[in-house]
Formats: sequence, structure tokens, C-alpha cells
Amino acid sequence: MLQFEHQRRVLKIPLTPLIDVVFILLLFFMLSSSFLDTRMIGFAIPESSTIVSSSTDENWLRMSENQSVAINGKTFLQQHPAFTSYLAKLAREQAKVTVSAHSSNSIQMLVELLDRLRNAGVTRIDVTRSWE
Amino acid sequence: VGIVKRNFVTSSKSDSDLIPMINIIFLLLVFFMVAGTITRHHSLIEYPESLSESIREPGELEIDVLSDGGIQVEGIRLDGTLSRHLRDLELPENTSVTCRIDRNLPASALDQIILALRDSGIDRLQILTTWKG
Repeated sequence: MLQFEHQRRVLKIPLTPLIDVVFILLLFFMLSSSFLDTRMIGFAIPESSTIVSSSTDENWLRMSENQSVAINGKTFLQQHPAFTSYLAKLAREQAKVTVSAHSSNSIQMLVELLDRLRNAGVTRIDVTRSWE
Repeated sequence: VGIVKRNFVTSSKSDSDLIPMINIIFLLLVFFMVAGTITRHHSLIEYPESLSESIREPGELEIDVLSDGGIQVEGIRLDGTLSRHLRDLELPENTSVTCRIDRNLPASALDQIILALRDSGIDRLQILTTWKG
């Protein structure tokens, strides 16, 4: 009877080491997993990354401190439909737009501007260094 | 015999109590394995929000600009300039570069990356964002 009970105990799966390993795996995945819905926004870097001296250069889009934008001698508020229409026109022409943010604008503002360009259909986007 | 029997009964009972816990732990493990994505931890970077629908593809070179302005390449904080580091890496021109940059940093924080990539002959950059929708 004793021998029979002893054999039954030996045949059982040892649960403690199993739980140890599973807990370690669980901790690893909990700490290293990310649930952020990450996307990306891509752009080209122009050959000359220096600031072009004038804001009147062709399709040179400069975002000012107050987030208004100047392009081809025109100034727009970003939210204004006229800006969207102008971007749509540039998209139809398959024009390349070079973007430069003011150095005080945040990265978030720059990304939002790039979003606007993409949503308007502009696909050829360059981003160059900020201006002051 | 009595002692062995009592121990066996106690052990068997405690094991059977563990089974629901193991079930739950296994479910949690499977959830984290399937639903999560293993990434390098970036508690110092608050990603910009974007409406971009481009699904993230890991870049061949990953540059992090932390909220304190520090720069990491492939997870290693740089002591020198980024330009020199990229020159030392001798990257091919078509290298895909992904940048993780904190959204609260000024746009000028991107300047040194743009200039360093340009100097290395790389003409495209991807910024990692989170979905705004």
C-alpha cells in the first residue's frame, strides 16, 4: 500500500517549478510588452538641409511660431479651408513641398502639419531643419 | 503509514488548489504573448500623435531623442555627436532610419538628426507616432 502511494506521488507533474517558470515568463511579457498602436510618418530629407534664405522659394512651407503657415508668398491659418484647398491644388500638381518649422514649434505641431499635407494628398514631402 | 498518508492527502489538496491559479496565469501569459509587442522600453519618450495610417516597420537604424534631449542610437546613449557616430557606422545610402522623438521637444531637436543623416547620404526618415484616432 505504501509502495503504491509512493509510486503515485512520483508520477505527478511537479507544480512548483512549473509555476516558477510560468511566473518568470509572465513577468517578462508583462514588463516588455507594449500595447501602443504605433504608426509612422515618413518624409524625405532635402539634399541641402540649410535654410533657404527666402520664404518665397517654390513650395517652401514655413510654420511660424503661432502655427500659421506661409507658402509661395501666401499665409494661411492651418485650420482654414483655404489652406486645405491650396494643398489639394499642390497635390494635383504632384508638387514637392519642403517643410520647415519654427524652432519653437513642438514636434507634435510638426507632425500635425505633416498629417495635414498627407491628408490633402501631398505625397512628396521634404522636411528640413527648423528656422528662427 | 499514517504520516505518509496524511502528507500525501495534504499535498494533493494543495496541488488541486493551485490548478485554477495556474490556469489564470497561463491565460495571462498567452494574452501578453499574443496581444503585446515586445519593444525596448521608452519611458522617457512621449510619442507624437498622428493620423498616419502607415503601419510601423522596424527601421534598420533606430534613433531615439529623449525628453531630456539626449540621443540614443540602437539603445545606446551617445557621448559624441550623432554625425560622427553615423560616419563611423558607414551606413549604406538606402538605410531605413526610424526616429523616436518626444512630442514635447522643439522642432529644432530634429535638426541634428536631419543634418547627420544628410551628411551620411541618407535621404529618408520615419518618425514613430501613435494613432490619434
